[in-house]
Amino acid sequence: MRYGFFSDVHANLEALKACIIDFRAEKIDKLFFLGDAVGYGPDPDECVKLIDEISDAKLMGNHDYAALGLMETDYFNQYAAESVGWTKTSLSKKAIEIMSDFELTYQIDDILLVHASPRDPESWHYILDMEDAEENFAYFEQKICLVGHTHRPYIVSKEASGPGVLSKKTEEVIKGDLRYLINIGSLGQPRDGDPRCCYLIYDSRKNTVRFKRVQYNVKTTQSNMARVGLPEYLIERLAVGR
Amino acid sequence: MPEIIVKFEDKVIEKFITEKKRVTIGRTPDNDIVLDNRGVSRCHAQIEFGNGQAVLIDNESLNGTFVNSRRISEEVLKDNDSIVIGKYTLYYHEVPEKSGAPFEADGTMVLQTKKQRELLAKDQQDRKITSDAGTSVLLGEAGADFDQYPINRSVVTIGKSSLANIKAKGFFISGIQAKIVKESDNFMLVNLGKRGKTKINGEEVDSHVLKNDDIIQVGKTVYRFVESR
Repeated sequence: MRYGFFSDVHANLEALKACIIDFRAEKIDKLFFLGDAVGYGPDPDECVKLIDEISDAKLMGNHDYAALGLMETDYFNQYAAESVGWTKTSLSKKAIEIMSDFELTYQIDDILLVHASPRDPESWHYILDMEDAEENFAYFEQKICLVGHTHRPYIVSKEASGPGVLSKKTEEVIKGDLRYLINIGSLGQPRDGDPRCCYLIYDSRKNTVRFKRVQYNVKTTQSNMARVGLPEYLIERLAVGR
Repeated sequence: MPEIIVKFEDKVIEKFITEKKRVTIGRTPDNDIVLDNRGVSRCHAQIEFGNGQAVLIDNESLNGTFVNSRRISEEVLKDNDSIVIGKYTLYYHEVPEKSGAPFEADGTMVLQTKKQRELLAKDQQDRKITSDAGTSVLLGEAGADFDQYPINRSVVTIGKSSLANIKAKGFFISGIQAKIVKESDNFMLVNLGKRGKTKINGEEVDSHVLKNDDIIQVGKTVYRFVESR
């Protein structure tokens, strides 16, 4: 089986469409979405509906939660809060209904999926350093935990009692004696300096995980963002992947 | 034959049809219309019938008698006047609204005093719950996993997701089926999930400003909203 895992689409329809073509080319059998369908981008409604069509499971992200009006946006940065406000007004009832069914965590085979962190999924905590990553291993039992949320892909592997080892390789073989915490990156708003879409393919036969980068038309998304009046800063950062 | 309808919190608790020349209203049981509440004086007021008129007289009560929101000491009643005494509202009708109501041989009919007592007891209990909680409260009725849930946050979510503040049951409900949002002095219930799975007092809703005693049904789980007053 080949599983595709994608996260943080952030209402970037151009990026999502480009990836859907790539999912087919990669012969993905099942797709899993790790949260943040909306926020930042210009096409929240279409993205939610499309994600719903293609995904076998869908998780709740903090931007989705905020767009449903379920949390204060106090801790959001100014631009994120602005885009949440706009997103709220542009979601259809159908999209709201779909999002209201997004789950907090999901398990497929021996893989746990969660948007932010396994330690405390509801607090939308950001795993930003190795220390934090190592600590989080104690909060899942599965062999692999996949997260999104920070928009930066990485693989941390760990022996039962050993330290965590960070890898930024695009492909890794899953080893029998290790467990893994993997950030699958962002499909719609990468922030690792590479503006191309990022998602993860897990091949159960080869026992590998591989990051896939997909080119899309950034300019189209940028002009659509300008058209609906989203902040200039958010428009600019898409092109540089930061 | 004039009729007096007694309401408490918008609920009819007594219908009083009389041929008497004088009807007394007060807190003690020797009155014709007994209003069992502290805001009501023992012999609060009376209505005198004669010369084709009904005259309401306030017996210098402590908290007053109001006709159509105006405090009175003596007032000739007109059809459909509303009389407020304490927390009760009495409606005066020159003739009974519906004919055929049963009444006793002496011409008076006192209905549902048991219901009135039950309502009062429930109201007192509700006030205690909200005053202890310091806010409005959801009471778990059928299928809820709590007795009381004080609404002390700006948003409360209801659904079957582990994310939901309040877990509701029902196979077809959404992860977050509904939310209760605090808006200035009110609580607004908004349906987010599948249509028709959120009901207030038996009616499907999209959004609804909660009133005291509203029955909220999410899937198979039922809650009662008790407003802090």
